[in-house]
Amino acid sequence: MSRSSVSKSHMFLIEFICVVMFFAICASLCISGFAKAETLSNKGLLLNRSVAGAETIAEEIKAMENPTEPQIAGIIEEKNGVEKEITYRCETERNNDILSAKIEAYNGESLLCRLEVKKYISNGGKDE
Amino acid sequence: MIERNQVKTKKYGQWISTLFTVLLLAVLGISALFTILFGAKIYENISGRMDDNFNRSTALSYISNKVKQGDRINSVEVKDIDGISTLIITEESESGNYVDMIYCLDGKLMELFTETSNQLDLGDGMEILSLDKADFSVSDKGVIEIVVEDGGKTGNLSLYVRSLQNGREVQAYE
Repeated sequence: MSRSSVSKSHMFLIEFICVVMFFAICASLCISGFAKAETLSNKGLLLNRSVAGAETIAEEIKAMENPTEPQIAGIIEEKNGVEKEITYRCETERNNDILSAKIEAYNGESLLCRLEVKKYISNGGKDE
Repeated sequence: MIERNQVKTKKYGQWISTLFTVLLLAVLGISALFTILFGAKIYENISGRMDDNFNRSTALSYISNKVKQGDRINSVEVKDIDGISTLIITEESESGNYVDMIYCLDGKLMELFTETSNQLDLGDGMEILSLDKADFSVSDKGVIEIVVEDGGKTGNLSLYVRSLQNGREVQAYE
């Protein structure tokens, strides 16, 4: 076997290693892309569901005549009981005749969406 | 003797080199296969999730927009027609009175928009999209609850309709 044949074989091996390394880099980029796509798709689905859920809570608050904090907490609790991956939280603030409620939807600790609803309460919510 | 050993060593080296190349080729092939399989699985997941979600969320958005658009006094109601839960939105205009009915029939979300005087039945409606089930109910607070079901999964949305007079007096502003 001549020296040039051994050198050719080594060159081929080095070239092949380079190809494998290039492929490995491309594959790792592709896989990270795939994983990101999966995460994004899952997040999108959760966002859709959380928006519908938050909208439902907001509409129910608007439907109440004189919403009180325990009533709102009841709605949130009921909604949290139904949903598995989404947790809803609500902060209320009363400013004279206006009740504002900030509804937030979380997946674990990450915020999915936030919705603010304001409701005019006649008589400032006091019973006549 | 020495030459013989040298030839043997060279042959052995060549054999190792070939084996290593073949191994590398195998690694490349297996990695490529796994990358493709992984990508295909992810694509399948995403596509399935989108299909799963599309019908329910589109149906909910469509119905929600229709209700909000037609939210005028005494114009939105929920009825059971031939055992089918139907959302009815009536519309009065100079050209006549119209009724828009949204319901689920034979695995399809349907809409029938016609003049009130027309005697069309639910089968004459237009198909909007595929949906297994759609249920409408009204609470005494004037909230319409829409529950849609497709592919064994449900989605729901509540809408506070200002025009419903079931629970509360609606104040009409001139």
